[in-house]
Amino acid sequence: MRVRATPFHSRAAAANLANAWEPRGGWTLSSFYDDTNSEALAVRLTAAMADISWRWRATLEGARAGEFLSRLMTKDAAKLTPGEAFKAAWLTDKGGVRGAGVLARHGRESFRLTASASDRDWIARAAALFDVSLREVLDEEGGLAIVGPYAAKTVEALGLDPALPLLTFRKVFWRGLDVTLSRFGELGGYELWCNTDDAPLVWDRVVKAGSAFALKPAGLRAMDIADLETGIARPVRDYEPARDGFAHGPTPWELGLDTLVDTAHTLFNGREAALAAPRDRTLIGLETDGEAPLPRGAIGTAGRVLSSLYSPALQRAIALAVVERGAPLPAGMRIAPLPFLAVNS
Amino acid sequence: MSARADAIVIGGSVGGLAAAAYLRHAGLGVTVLEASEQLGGSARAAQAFHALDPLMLRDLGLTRRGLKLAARDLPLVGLRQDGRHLVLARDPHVAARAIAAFSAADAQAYKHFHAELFALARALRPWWCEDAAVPQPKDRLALALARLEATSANAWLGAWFETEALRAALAFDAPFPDAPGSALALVWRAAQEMGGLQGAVAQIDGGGAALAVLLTAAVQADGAELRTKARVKKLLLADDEAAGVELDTGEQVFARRILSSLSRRDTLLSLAPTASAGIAETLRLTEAAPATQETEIVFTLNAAPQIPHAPARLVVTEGDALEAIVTPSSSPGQHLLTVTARGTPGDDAVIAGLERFAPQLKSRIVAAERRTRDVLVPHLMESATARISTPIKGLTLCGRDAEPMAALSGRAGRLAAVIAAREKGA
Repeated sequence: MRVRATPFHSRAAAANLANAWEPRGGWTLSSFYDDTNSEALAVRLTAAMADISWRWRATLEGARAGEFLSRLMTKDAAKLTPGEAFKAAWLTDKGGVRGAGVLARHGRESFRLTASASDRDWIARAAALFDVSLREVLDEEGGLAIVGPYAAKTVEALGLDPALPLLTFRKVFWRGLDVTLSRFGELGGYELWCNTDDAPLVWDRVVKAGSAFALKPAGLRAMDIADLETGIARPVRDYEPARDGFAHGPTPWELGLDTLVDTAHTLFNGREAALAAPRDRTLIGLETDGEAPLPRGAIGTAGRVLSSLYSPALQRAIALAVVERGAPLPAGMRIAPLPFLAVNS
Repeated sequence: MSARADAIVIGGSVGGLAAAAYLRHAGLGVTVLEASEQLGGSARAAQAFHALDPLMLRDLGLTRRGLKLAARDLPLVGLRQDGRHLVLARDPHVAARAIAAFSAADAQAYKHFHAELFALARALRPWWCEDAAVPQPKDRLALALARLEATSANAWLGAWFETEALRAALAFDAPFPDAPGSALALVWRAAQEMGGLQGAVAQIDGGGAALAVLLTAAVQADGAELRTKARVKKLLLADDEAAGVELDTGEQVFARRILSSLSRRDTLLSLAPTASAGIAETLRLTEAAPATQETEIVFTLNAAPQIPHAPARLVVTEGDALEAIVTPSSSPGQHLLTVTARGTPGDDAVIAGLERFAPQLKSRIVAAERRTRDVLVPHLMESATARISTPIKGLTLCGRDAEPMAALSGRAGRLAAVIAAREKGA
């Protein structure tokens, strides 16, 4: 495997006691630094930091950027003011979910889309219809997530103001560095974005500030557990993103993404087809009494398991599944309310 | 300034005028907006018609108003360099005798080919001519149809005939004779009817201009508002549904049903707000360049050209393919030579190509008028609804490009009006 280092790679390599790595979005990231379960518990009980430089980020700029993003996204981008963001999806013409992410407005004609899976080619071509340019943020910027009950305290200890509403961001000049502090994540924590050259310094500062709160670096596996505990279906991990030209794609409704769609926003692509789509299937959380994750795939005739992991915080295996409404479940599985664990923000 | 109507028809083409008449018949107030000074669109210059919708001719009372055919079916003539031209008359037995001078086997095959072509055409006619479900041709025809869907016109004709002139003359009816499925274009031509004859190519007394006048009178009598020199600049939407149009003068006309004579590409890319047809659909239309172009040149001649076998459809079978039709002009002593050529050849190249068969052609030309249009890939396997409706609610297509194969027909206009009127309560 060819290593594609994130800006934090040198520090992550030093902290990665197990030398366990895996690829994500083309980047090489730590699977875990020491022990997945203790890292996942740190997310829930103390504080953790994670390298999130693998997330797909794109800057969209142009005089008609607001118009384009209102057409693309399932919420009205024109209503965002600079410094604000929303979580939304983008759909195919036929109303299938192509992707979902956070759209932040940086300026009057400038937006930033952050998502866990890239849809660069299609969005860039669509943007060109509106004379809007798409530029991917790749090696020039790194990001660290700071999550857990002591995330705010850690941020405060860093010398940053933790009083930042959810789904907003702030650009700050922080002790000699240009950084952006945002609150886009599902875990109620913070993200700290910095220039590549400053990344090791930022890592060191976070480790130092977090030491008082038992902050641990968390690898991909621990973050995946925390993410699954939020009960949100993710592209690639949980569903094959819809593509135009293919007959079927998952609707927002069967993925439980209802909150990402503003049905009062009348302009977005695929709206009519999405609203007309049947709502006979729904996303549910499942839990078992055992520790073994449920296998992916069909559960009887009720539906199918999307993904399943062992949750150390809940001491049992949890799973996301899509089922027919009201269909009976096999023995040994129970429906768990989503999210599996509420965030402590 | 603003006005309101039940329906707006963009473009006073044959299809647009037909749509306006049918919308009036359904009791809707209609405004036709034509960019140029005259109604009739490309029909005004047309000399031969092969696809005029018989229902439209009847329902608009065009025959009653004086529509006359000057020729009910023009024979197809394959022009040959050596002067032994191949004349394909309507009667397959007469045509077979002409073919026998070239090949006895082809003469035999032609009778079978003709029967097969017309049988397939009759089976597929409901599908192409009405808003009908795909017909299920029985047994042998079903197989033949499935084969033709993947067969090019050239390959199909090549399997039937050995005479080059015969193959080239017949293949001219398919705009992309080498494309898979283009054999169906020949079947589609045979499925049309003119003057009650299947697969005929007719000439109208007075030419296309006469048809335009009659159509205009019929639509006017039905009470539609006809406006010329009214160029539509953009489509106005309300909540992604058609709401009206804006003219280049800034004037707005509002209606919840809009029918466009323009092609799907021009309607959705030039008139509708960016990507309002859906992002993927818009990208598909933007990135798919028109496959080829077709040039139509009308030469005005001061004397009848010495072309053999006129009146007829003359197809040059050697060298660059082109079709020529000679008609007497409305000015005494003058003749019109209408040439249709694939691609965009210059006037000189076209004249040189024809002068091999019509000596002194060049010296008789007093005027030439050319127009070029994109030839889009035909929609021979699409249902009428798929060809006519658009992703924008309330917007339908009624022009020549909404036909299964681009043609002056009026059928798409009739069907579009039915679809638009059906949505009345919606």
